Amino acid sequence: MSEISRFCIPYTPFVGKLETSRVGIVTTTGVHLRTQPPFTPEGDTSYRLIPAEATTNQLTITHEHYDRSEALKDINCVFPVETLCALAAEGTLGSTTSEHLSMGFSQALREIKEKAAPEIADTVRKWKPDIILLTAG
Amino acid sequence: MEGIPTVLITVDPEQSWQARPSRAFHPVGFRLGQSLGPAGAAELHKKVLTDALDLLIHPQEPGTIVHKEYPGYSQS
Repeated sequence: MSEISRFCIPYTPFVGKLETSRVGIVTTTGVHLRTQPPFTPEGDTSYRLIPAEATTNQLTITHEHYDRSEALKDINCVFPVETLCALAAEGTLGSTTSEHLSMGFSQALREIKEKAAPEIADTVRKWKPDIILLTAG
Repeated sequence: MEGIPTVLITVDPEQSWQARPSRAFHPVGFRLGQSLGPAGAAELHKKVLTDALDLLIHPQEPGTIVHKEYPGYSQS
């Protein structure tokens, strides 16, 4: 894989309307279903797939690098999964993707770039999203 | 290979800028762990999310971070 220029800003124009767009979330907030294996707080390049209909009481956070107290009461503080559904229901957005993707904390940038990121890109592409929202705690 | 339009919501624009996001939205004064607002603030969450998504339909220079204040919301 070629190196990315320090000055390069990857940019894909948006063509379309929000009210007909399918929107997904990719997050580094360490959110996961309570039934899924937790992330390793010290560093973890794995990811979890979160169903689009997941709600706060089904989710938790394994991440020790930000204050999670509010988000554990209401996951939408950092991972607006229910907010996205609400906007789709009222017609502001077309729909959500069938699932979203969550990563934990990691500073293993080379491993993320060479292994995790290509896998994540392949996974996300299968959702056929029009827009991906990124959140980071 | 085609890309996917993205928008980032960040409470730390200086750090986020280093990752060169294509578009980023900064709700000014929001804390880490509350990037869309505090627990239970569903309308604020919705407002921040729609403001971030608006960056898609009002394109800026690639890499622009848009800052917005929410006067009714204080985290001092």
